[in-house]
Amino acid sequence: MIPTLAYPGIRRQRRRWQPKSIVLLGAAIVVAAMAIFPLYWMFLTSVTPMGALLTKQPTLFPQLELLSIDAYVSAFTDKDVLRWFGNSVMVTVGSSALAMVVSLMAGYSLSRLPSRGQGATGYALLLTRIIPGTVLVLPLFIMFNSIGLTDGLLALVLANATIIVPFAAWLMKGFFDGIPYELEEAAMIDGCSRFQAVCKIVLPLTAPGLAATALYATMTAWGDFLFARTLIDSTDLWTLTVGLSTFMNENGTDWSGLMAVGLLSVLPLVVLFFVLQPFFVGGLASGGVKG
Amino acid sequence: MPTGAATLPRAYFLRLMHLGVPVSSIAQRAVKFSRSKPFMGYVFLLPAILLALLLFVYPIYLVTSISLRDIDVVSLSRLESAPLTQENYVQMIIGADIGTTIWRSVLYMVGVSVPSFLIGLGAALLFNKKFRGNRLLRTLTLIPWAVPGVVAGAAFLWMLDGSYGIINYALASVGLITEYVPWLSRPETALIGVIVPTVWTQFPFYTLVLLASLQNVPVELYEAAGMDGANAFQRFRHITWPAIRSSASLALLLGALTAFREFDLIYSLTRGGPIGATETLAVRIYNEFFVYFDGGVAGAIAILTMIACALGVGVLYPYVKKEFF
Repeated sequence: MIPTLAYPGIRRQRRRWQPKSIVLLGAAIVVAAMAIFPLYWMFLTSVTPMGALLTKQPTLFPQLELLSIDAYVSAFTDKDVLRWFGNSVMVTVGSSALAMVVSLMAGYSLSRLPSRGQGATGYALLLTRIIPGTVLVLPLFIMFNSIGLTDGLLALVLANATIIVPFAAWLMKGFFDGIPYELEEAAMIDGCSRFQAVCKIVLPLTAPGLAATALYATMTAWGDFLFARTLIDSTDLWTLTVGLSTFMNENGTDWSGLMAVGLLSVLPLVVLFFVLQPFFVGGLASGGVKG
Repeated sequence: MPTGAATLPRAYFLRLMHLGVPVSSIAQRAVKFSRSKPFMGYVFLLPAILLALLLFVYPIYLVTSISLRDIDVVSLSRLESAPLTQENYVQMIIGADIGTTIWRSVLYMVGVSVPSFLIGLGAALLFNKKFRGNRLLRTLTLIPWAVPGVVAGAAFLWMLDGSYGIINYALASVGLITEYVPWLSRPETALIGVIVPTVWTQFPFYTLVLLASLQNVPVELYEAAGMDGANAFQRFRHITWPAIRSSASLALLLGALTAFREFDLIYSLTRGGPIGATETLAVRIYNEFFVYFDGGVAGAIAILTMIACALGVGVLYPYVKKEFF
């Protein structure tokens, strides 16, 4: 160790390819491969024709001579995938935006409020988070029915926002807690109104937190199946998850089609996840979860 | 369901409609009152409280009401005029074999949480080390968390297939099973069949939270321990674990609750079957209402579930509060 310490440059170069680091890399590759395998398998299935799928000897790598994108083509031609996609986007954007605004405000006030009210609010937030969606969907179905909101995307937007807000507010509170109140005070002394102080000073500082919360909101709304399945009847208003479930039927599942649509529906999330994920680890470290 | 019979107050709808609109105006008013700090705080809470009252508190009241009335599903719009009864609760306890469902829910919750936690912890410890490619591989490992329940359900429906599933193929080739198992269509194995996909979607959550808290452990501690001759297990036992214990228990609590309320994945894999083998409380409520059209019993089970949740959170909350607030 002593000679390497004397030449820090060499030490750094060497450290990268120490046996230990190769073992770690190997282990990490195995872990990542296992984590990603179901998605890979979906992809492989989606580009293999049905006839070749039903075999007792599946191959781990694509058989190039069999490769076909028929499943994707028929997803767009035979099924209304584009329309489902559009509906999913509308519901996700609508409910995430609504939930973000509401939970941003709630999180801010929870963070700055005197701590007396916080205990009860925290309990309420946690409780709303854990109650199964099926408990809630029952009365929502009845309520929306009686006011004529069922079978409309607005019902989905509201229902999803309800599910997102508690945890999102909780996350936001953690992020605001990490920002000293003195910063706002300083801005207000310099002539900002409180609103300006929040917009110009606090929000930019919580950007990673906002990104993390937005990711959570998007994932929740995009993945929702329970509400979409229950509150929507018309096939025109189906979201991707409901559309996807129509591929799983008793009389022989169209595996390639199912996997193709499944992959298409998960793709936007994966892209978003890749972009926002660094914020998430950082965001959780900075405030969301104390440790 | 007759949609015309608007027995519920229209005012609710109007307030509902207004809910999204006045957010900006509430914000503006909030600024006006910014001098009185506490008041402004509450004004900012207003949208959340409104949303909670309309789409949470009122629905809970509605479920309670359904569970206490003698009414069938098609006439639910005349709920308020139906006679009160305890029949639904009696029915739930003596006729519906509720104990089994509760036990199954617990089994599923524990069966999902413990493996997810252990795998998640292992991955977090691994990705907390420095090596090339860490960032990319870490992101890939976390991806299952972003996969919607229905998509995960689709993937595993195929992978667990009794005739052509890759999992059967893999298990058979290493000799763990002699003949293919129809995991999801056999009552004895169906619960395992839904637990495995849930573990797949949940373990990254633990990795994420634990990784975040591992990054706060001072490196100096490990260096000091190394000089004192502590081995890897001792370092974990005396440095890592105490440092991450609190966020680990919190993550475990949140994760277990997520498993408890899981619906999408179970429903898309088995719909609670075969013969109820995967019917947890969350799935049961749905099936009672939307499949068997027994609104009363569905409501009773929903109330039972909610009381269980409230008690569970009540017992654990003081601890959580210490960590969070």
